[in-house]
Amino acid sequence: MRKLNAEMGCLPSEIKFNILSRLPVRMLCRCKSVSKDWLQIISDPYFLKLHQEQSKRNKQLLLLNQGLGDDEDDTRPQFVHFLATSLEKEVHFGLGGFICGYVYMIPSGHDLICLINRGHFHIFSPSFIKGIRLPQAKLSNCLEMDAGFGYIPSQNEYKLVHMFDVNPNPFAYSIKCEILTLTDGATIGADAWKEIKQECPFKVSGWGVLANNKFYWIVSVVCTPCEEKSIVSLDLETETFDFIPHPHYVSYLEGNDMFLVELKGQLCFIDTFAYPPVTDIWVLVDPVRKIWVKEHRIDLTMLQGFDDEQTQVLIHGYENGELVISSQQKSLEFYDTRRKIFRKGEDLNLLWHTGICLYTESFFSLGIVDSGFLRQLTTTLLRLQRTSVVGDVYTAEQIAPDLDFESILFQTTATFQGQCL
Amino acid sequence: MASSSSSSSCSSSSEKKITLKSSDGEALNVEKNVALEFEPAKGFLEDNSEEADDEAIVVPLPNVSAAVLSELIPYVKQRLELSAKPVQKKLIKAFDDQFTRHLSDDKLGELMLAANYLGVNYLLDVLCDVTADRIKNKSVEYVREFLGIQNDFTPEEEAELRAQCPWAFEGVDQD
Repeated sequence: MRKLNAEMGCLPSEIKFNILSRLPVRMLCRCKSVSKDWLQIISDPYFLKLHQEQSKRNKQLLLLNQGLGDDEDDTRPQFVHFLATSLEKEVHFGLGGFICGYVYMIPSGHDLICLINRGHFHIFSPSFIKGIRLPQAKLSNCLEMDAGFGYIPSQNEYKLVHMFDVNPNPFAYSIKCEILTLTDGATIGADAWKEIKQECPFKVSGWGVLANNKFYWIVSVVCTPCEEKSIVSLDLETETFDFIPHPHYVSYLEGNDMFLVELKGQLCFIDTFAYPPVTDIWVLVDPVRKIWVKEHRIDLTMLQGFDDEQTQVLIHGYENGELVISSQQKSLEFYDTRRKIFRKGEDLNLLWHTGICLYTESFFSLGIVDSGFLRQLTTTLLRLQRTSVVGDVYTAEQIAPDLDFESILFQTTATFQGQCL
Repeated sequence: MASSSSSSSCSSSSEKKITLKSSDGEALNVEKNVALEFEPAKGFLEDNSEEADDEAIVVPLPNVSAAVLSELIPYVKQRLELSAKPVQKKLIKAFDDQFTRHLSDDKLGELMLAANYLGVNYLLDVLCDVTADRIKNKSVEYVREFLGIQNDFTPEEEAELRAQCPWAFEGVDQD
């Protein structure tokens, strides 16, 4: 290796801050042992703020492929593969192993990602490559998992909301709600779930989206919601439920594809029409007076490989003036909202059922470290990180060519017999 | 756009020229708009604005060598031309990549110091990005050597720091 001369050795501190703010959290933890000077920089609150800002501009992707495809009801063991990469396809790490049943992935809009497997909640930190299993949530009388996960920057806290049906009658429902708060470095006690007094008036569908300190869900169609009450909100401060109307009454048509997403801190309603094929983006500009404004209309026929019947557009975030969109293609699409054009991203070899989460690197620490399943996956797959290709399906031999895969499989099996994932 | 410029020889341009004097005493002729990208030159030109003839001005840059300046000038010139057009960010990125790809580690250090002194922040950001990229996922020992940093921990202190986050030391790239 070439040796760097004195030039590098006497870099002014602003350059050191600049360079270090571009490194991932895991590398920075390693770099603490470079020198006393670096240890001090990496612990400096000003540096941490700088790193946070840099990370926000440079979002990463966590991709999830599972052998079951999208069969959410299958509980057989399946091969699950996570891959963290930059938007430009620079692979950070991969994790893989056998897990019973389908894994749901809920982004927080920040760093942590919530995973749900067979009714159990897990929190995964892609920055630290660590995961924890949360205390058992309440059992629900309905089969679906209803939840919401989000981050509150002003408090540096994550909130996980779980909705569960306590009514034993299959033709009726009483939806109760419990909330779990994650604070930086804090241990999570067995009593971490806090049930709130008010019941949720309706069943919801999809994951809740957090914006301006409220979670929002689209009301499930089984409740035949009226237009004025088609979105339910939960105020985290007052712990009360409320409604907001659907943004555009005329567009409330069957066959439309609708979902909520948070973009730039605001709640957005994404409404995709079957014909003409367009996606409207409505922004809740005034959450108090419940006013929606249509900010963008995307012509989907401009999308490469657009198929009237097949294409389902999902919006994952808004990065540097572009919407990050997936449309069952091998790569993501980036939509420039000002110039109204699509830009094709790197080929990530995405499958049609690949789970996609954007995340922001952060030093948010999960407190207790689970030495179980995710750690096991970490050690197995870190060896693979440079060779793995996004979206490929691995066999046991390919995953651990130089490891005793039998023993890993055994340990993994032992872990998930007790707790799965 | 693709015309590669050699900063010293293109005197046919109608642009106003300024002379920059490097730390090793060499005089380099540059277009005024390029010189204005360098903070110390900009300040110097503002202070001497009563001077009628720009050609007569010699801006001293005592912290940058002629070798580094002659790398910087064509970069800044082309970058200015690029950003004057309504081009995609992607093109600027490709141009930056091309500029940095073949830089030796030594050159990288020199350019960073120069970009910092001259206040060319867009270049500094690109260079810091490249440096971060070159040490990303490397061992602590590699980072020290790359950046010329003395290890001032005792072996006990270092072992303790490593023990605090053993997971951060897994999956290190080959040096």
